[in-house]
Amino acid sequence: MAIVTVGELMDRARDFELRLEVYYAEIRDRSKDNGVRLLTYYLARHRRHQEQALAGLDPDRVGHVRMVELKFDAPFDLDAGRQMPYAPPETIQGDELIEMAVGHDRELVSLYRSVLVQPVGDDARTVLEALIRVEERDMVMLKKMQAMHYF
Amino acid sequence: MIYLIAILVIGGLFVSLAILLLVAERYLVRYGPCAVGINEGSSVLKVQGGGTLLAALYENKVFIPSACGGKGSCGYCKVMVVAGGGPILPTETPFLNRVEMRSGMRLACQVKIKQDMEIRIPEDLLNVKQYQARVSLVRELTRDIKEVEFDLLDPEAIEQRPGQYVQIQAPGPEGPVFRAYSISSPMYEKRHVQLNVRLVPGGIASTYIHGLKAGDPVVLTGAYGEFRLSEDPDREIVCVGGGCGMAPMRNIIYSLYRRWPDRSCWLFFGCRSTRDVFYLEEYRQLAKQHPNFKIVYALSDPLGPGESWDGETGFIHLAVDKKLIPGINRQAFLCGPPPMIEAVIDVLKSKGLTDAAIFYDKF
Repeated sequence: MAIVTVGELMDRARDFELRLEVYYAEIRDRSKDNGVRLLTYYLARHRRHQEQALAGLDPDRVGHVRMVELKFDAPFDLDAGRQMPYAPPETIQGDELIEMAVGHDRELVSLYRSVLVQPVGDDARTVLEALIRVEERDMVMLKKMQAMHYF
Repeated sequence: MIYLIAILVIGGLFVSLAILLLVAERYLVRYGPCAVGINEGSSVLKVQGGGTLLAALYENKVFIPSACGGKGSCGYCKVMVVAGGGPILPTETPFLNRVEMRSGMRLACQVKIKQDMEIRIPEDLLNVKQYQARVSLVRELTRDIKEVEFDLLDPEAIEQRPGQYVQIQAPGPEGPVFRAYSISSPMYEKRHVQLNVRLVPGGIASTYIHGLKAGDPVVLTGAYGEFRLSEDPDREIVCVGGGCGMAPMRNIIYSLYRRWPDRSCWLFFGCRSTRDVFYLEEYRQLAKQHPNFKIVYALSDPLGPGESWDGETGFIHLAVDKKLIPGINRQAFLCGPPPMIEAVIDVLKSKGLTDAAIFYDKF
């Protein structure tokens, strides 16, 4: 079995975020609902959580962490979020969108946690915990928006 | 079976060691009295080492904003630690960017006092006080927003700037929690504080506040916040609120017209339906006294059967785009959900406003 590094998993997560950007932009362009368009405009602009989390860390340290080899691969389906049973882009509602975005954050948290349970060392733990926190903060913010019924 | 026993033994050893370390730190490690210097010696606090910086500041009546009560999950309690703070902890890094880290910014709730320290905090925070207050009025504004007024008892008066907020202490399942609410009463009403509070399903603080009735005691701290109204009377003010983001706007508008009765000011307010509209009639009365006050409410949902509406429709950033002509010297204050704020900022920039002229509060 090929050896997987933390960096490879981070790249998978980053690819997932980039795909989500495109996906939300697609909904924004196809939806007739102004609330959904406003929301997806925002979501498409704020999916680069990994970039945000790593911005506060020393690049050398992150580079070192990326090289850490994992004992087990962490299963992560890049299309998982997009295959959720939600309405098509033309008819999707704001609430469903927020649920979807929370689901995507949760997917990433679960990916990072699956790495954290392996013996990866303190530096990698720091990086992964930073990544998890950014996702968790986003989930809190999204749930708050949902509770406010603005969209 | 042997593996299970091995796991249990090793696990038990780790747990025992962790407990031992915690007990040792609690009872054996004595950091003794430490000095926390604030703002290059403008004041020095004598505190017992071992606790967090946030708790020590709080005990000495220096109230740093914190929404999570010191659990390291809100990232509000940032202070600059010049000396004695030790290394940045992993629990802090998600809340600090690289520039902040280099400048010594830390989360006060995560920094333990183990030696003398020197910190820097904004002067404004040194004026923040804790207030014992009593509910004097509760009024329903919409199906889920209440106006709640508190009489201040000790101290009896608050100094605040339009757009600032207070933190309400609410009882939570794991101890008190603190939540920020913008002050809706104008700055010249010093003896009470009024808030607009939307009930968030499952929200600890909003549920607590919605359950309050006249006469109930409340503890709050304040005033906090960076909003600063321009002193230039020729500068037009633009207030944009969405959802329940009306409170700071109300404070700004009333404070503004008390001081500059002829000043030009726009109020844009976005909500979903006629059921969510509030303060409109009150503002219309105010506009009769101040002709340069312009009010634009917009509904984003289609009208229901039997509903009538003579205002704008669609999202509020579209109304801002439609009504404001570019090239006028303006300052803007925004309060509402993040997507609304970002859309409005884009519109305002297209009208010529710079970042420095736009204050916002995303909730």
